Amino acid sequence: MKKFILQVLLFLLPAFVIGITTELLLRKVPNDYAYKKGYLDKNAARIRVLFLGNSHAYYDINPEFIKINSFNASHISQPYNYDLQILRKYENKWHSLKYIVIPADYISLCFRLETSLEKWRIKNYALYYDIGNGAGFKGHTELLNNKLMPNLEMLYQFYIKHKHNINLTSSPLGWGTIYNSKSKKDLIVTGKTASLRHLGNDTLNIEKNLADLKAILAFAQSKNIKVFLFTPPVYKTYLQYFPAGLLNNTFNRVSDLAQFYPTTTCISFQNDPAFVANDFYDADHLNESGAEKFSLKIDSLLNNAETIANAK
Amino acid sequence: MLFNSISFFIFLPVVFIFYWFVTSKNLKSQNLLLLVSSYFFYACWDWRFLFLLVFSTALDYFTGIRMYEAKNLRMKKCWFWLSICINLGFLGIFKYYNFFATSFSEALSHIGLHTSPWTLKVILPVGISFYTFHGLSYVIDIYKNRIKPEKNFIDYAVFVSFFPLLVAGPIERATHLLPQIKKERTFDYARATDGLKQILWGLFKKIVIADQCAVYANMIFDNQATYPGSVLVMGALFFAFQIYGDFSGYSDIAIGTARLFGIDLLRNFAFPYFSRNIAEFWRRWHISLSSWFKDYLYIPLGGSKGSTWAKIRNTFIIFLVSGFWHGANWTFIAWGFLNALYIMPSIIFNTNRNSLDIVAQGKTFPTVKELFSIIITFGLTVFAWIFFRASDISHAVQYVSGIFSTSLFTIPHTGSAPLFLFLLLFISIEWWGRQEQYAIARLGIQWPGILRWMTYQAILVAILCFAGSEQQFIYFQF
Repeated sequence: MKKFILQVLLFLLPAFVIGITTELLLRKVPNDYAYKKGYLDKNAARIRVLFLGNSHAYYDINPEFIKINSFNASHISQPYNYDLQILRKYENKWHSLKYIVIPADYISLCFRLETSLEKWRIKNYALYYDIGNGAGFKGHTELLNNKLMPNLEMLYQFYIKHKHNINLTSSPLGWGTIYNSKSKKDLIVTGKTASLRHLGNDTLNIEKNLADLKAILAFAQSKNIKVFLFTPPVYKTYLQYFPAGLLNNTFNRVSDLAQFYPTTTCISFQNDPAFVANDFYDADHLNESGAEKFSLKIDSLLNNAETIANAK
Repeated sequence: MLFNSISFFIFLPVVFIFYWFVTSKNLKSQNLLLLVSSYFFYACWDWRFLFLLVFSTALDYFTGIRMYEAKNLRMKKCWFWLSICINLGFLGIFKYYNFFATSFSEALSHIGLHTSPWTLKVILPVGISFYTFHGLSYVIDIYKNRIKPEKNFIDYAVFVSFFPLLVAGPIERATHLLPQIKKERTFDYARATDGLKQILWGLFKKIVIADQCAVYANMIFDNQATYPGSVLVMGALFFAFQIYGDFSGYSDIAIGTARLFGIDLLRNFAFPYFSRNIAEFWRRWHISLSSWFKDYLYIPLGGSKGSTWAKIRNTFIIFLVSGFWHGANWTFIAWGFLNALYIMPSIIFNTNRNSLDIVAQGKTFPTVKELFSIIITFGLTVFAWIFFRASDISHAVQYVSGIFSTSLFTIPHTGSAPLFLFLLLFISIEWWGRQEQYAIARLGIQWPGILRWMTYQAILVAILCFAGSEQQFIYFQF
């Protein structure tokens, strides 16, 4: 028996050693999540505008075009429960925070990381943001959340080829930079695929997400922070495949909730004619010029709010 | 808890160490440990269905004893039918109710009566088809006086719930498994290392072959309208290897795991894609289910005795029931029907007992005739898998129509060339080891230790390279 156990351990030893080494090396590769946490650790106290939410905030809002000191802490598929955890993590540091801008679209209400194909992203919050409540053992490892080959490829690119930005996709102020006009996608094809992908999410998540959104709004109100809930601009092909009733219902549910929080404003850019084909990377995300246009609109919104606040 | 998950690879060594170090001196405590760990394993899926499993176990345990102790045949029959009806009732409600309700409603709509079927919003308890069949075989065997009932509830419960076979078989028989559970077990180094090798090969089949084939098979089947016929053929081929790698890989892991605990399970696969005819294929594919249907349905119906028409009827019945066992969908019934059609010539001409030996036994390569038979049999099987994989009958028909078009002769581009190389390597290893219980049972047995060790390490590396997504096993849904 002892011989058997010893032989099994010996057999598995190389895999363990390689696995642990790979895990440690992977964690040292800089990534967006570690960067954003590092930024917030240092600068949370002086941030006045915080952008949260999913890819519709990550790619659509570039803080460089916002006059007030701001940071984009959103990320791809970041649901409300993680936004809430980020807010709570720096609860005692938001000394200057006056505005939170956060998407309120269909996907925000229906999507939860835990039940989606993107649940592998949970480890990013557990490992790099220290907000991994309930992530479990798997959610605390890099190695178990991706196949070995892409991981080894990343190590090769970072350590051998010295490509230090291999896993960084955001600008210094947290805006997602990779959706640019040079790599634009077909708006007709992505209109269909994105809407079908979004419709595939479980509507049972709506109540949970509304509860988390409610907690965010309550948190903001308790600190006298104004919240802007926005429905992002989408290209017409996305709307063609998406039942209009569902979109309206989403907006209505969010509006109904927001009316209980005087510091919250809902605004929809869904059918904004200012956004044309050239502003989009794909049917539901803006490219760099679209992001500039949209960020300027948000900036104007914030300036108006600032003017009103100062007048009081 | 999936066999290819981290939690299983924590669970397994823990149970193994307790089994051989803490409870090894006492058979009762060893069996109790197996039962508790099996129930824990099952509860990890959904603890609520544990009550169903315990109820089903208790039902068959008590009815088995009552049947045996019955004073007259009438009472014995009463207990027997009580068990059969409740077992099949649960299976019917959880697995088939919605299918019958919607099919009935659709049938009414064809004659102008539009109804909205009352369907149940229940999820299928994992493994219900497997443990129900365990229980049924036990009850039928007692009724037919083939075995005596088990008096010890723990031992019987381990027979039904032993965790390696609980969720997807092999479907065991009381005559085979219960004596092993009641017998004192001692650790056997050779058996345990053999079990580990089988687990390793099972993981390779699941993670490297099945899961990689699944990527292409899903892509092609889900977007069938956008692909030419040649790609659709590849999609069907990928699915054939996916389902084989998935289910036989699962069975290898189950059998290997059981061997670590000193228990031998029934063989479930014997290199079915090297079969020379469909009858041989069905002696080599999901053996424990095929033999179950043969013993508890085909033979009671008259089997191969009687007129040719009776044999044809019986064959169609078992293939249709077998198809329906896989799931509540017309696609599975069509798959069963196709296989029944395939096997008909050998039933009619009484050649179904041909090819009982291993193909090209003792030789390196098959003869041209054997190779031709293997390719034809494999082709027929792949065609039937299209119906098994399709989401519904119209999807299957569209898929088949897509294959039989002029685009069949275009060059397929799917970017799957590396996977084909892996498949070729896999087929070669399987061919090489076809005379064994599993392909790598004797791989490198006469090589120097270091070379053999490196071969196993290479298999482990391949598994680790492709691991990471924890794909569900196909047969867990049945």
